[in-house]
Amino acid sequence: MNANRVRTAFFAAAALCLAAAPLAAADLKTVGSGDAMNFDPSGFREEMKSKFEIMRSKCVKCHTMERTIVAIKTGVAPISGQPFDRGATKAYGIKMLRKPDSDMNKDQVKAVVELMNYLLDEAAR
Amino acid sequence: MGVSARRSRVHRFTCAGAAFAVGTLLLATFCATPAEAIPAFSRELKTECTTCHTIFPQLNEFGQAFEKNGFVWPGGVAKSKKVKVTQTEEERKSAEFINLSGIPNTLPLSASLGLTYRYDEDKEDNFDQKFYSAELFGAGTFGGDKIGFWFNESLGGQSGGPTGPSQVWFVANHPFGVPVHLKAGRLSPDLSLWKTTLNGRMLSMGANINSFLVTSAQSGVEISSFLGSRAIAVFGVNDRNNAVGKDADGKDLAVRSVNDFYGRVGVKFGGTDFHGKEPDVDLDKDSVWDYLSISLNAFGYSGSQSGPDHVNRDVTRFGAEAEVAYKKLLLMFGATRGENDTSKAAVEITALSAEVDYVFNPMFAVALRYDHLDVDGKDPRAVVTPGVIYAPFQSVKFRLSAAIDSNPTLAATGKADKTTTAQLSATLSF
Repeated sequence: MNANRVRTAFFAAAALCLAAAPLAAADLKTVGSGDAMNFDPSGFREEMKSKFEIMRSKCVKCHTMERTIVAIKTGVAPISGQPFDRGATKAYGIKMLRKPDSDMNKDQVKAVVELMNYLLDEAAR
Repeated sequence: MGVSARRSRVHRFTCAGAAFAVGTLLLATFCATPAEAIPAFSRELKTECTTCHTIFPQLNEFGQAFEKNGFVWPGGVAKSKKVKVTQTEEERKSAEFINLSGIPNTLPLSASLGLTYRYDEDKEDNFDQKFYSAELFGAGTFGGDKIGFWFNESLGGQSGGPTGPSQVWFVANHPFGVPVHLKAGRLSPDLSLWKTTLNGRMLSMGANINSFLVTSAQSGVEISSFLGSRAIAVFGVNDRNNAVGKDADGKDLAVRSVNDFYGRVGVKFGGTDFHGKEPDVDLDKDSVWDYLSISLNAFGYSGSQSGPDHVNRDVTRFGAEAEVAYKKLLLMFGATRGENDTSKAAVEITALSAEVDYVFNPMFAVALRYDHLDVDGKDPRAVVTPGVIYAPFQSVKFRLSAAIDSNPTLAATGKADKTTTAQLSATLSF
């Protein structure tokens, strides 16, 4: 009897994990290709959606979103070849904050850095 | 010159200036398209010009770090990694022979074409002064960033065209593991915070002193090293071929090779360091150092130069420079003190310069500059230079500027002691 319960619980947990796995991967879906490539924010956590709006409007001013997507998905910054991790997201955030033409304030940079960290976590899942 | 004639010229100048400004603005309106980067480094590293420049050729903080590291991307990541990420597997395999050969991925050549229209209020044919220039340059790295190289050579043009001194040099990056950059070839001494000393232009105006310029290219060897991440020291020796005089028959004696010595020490507070690392900004707290950087530099040069009588005489220069950058504002200050030995007595020279730049965006900037040259304390010359720069693309630049030059020494020759010139120049690099 106990063995049956354990077996049932095990299969239930396994089924739950299998069901959840594709959902997690789906969080980092992208749409479009090349210059028009962008994240699909439909699977983002609610508080990240507003941060994505900042990223969508500010980051593409100087470069394509593809550059960011490649960095987050591969963990390597595409131009420099340097690791793109949590340390790098803050460094890039500061670089953009100090770039005269970025027109980003600290709150906006902080929001984008938090979003990139969230996306890195999602990509690693 | 009569008052009415002067007024007429002023009026014509004003109209011409307005026409240039309107023309430039019209170009601005019709040429505005998405920025495209093209020259050699941009192609090789697959990144846009503004990674290293504000408006070319002026380097931003990252560009300065890139240059000082021998054209190696700060952070020291091997090139092969970059290739793996940016290319498909098939492309990577086809590029492997390039990596194994240790050569740049793209042909590291660029060219720059320039065209300048100049207005001179004192010339009879005010506007009929056109200058063109074409310059070829190349730069890159070999052997997985071990050796950097640079060359630039004028392909032709007219005197007055905007080309720099011809240079060909190599730089060994950290040779034998020693943390220095060793540069050799025909090079322009690295004495300045910027590509050339701020006083260079003013000192070149002192042609009545002699043609000596510390930044002119010479064969030499230069070694530079970072002291920590925010200080740099440079020392160099160059080899000038100077005549040493005439014999009893008035013939030139054999040209003698003479060594000059120079060096500089620079330090930077705030901003990106010499390794390209961003400052540690607290995103929850504001500080003036979030955007402020201050760079200081001191240099010295001791050498010799042959004058019109073909005799070698000592030349010394000492200078100090400062740069303050805050957001879109850039302030630059430079002072050079020098002494030239002559056949009579030593001539003392003092040049002071200040410039303020405001970069509205990567396409549009304004600049105002003041230069002062004093030779033996007599009749100092002053030049005020306002300018507007418009770059519709990252590789195309228009510059409209004027120079109001007060030169009292000209009064003795019967010429006007105050002259105004204006110029519109276009530069295209690819």
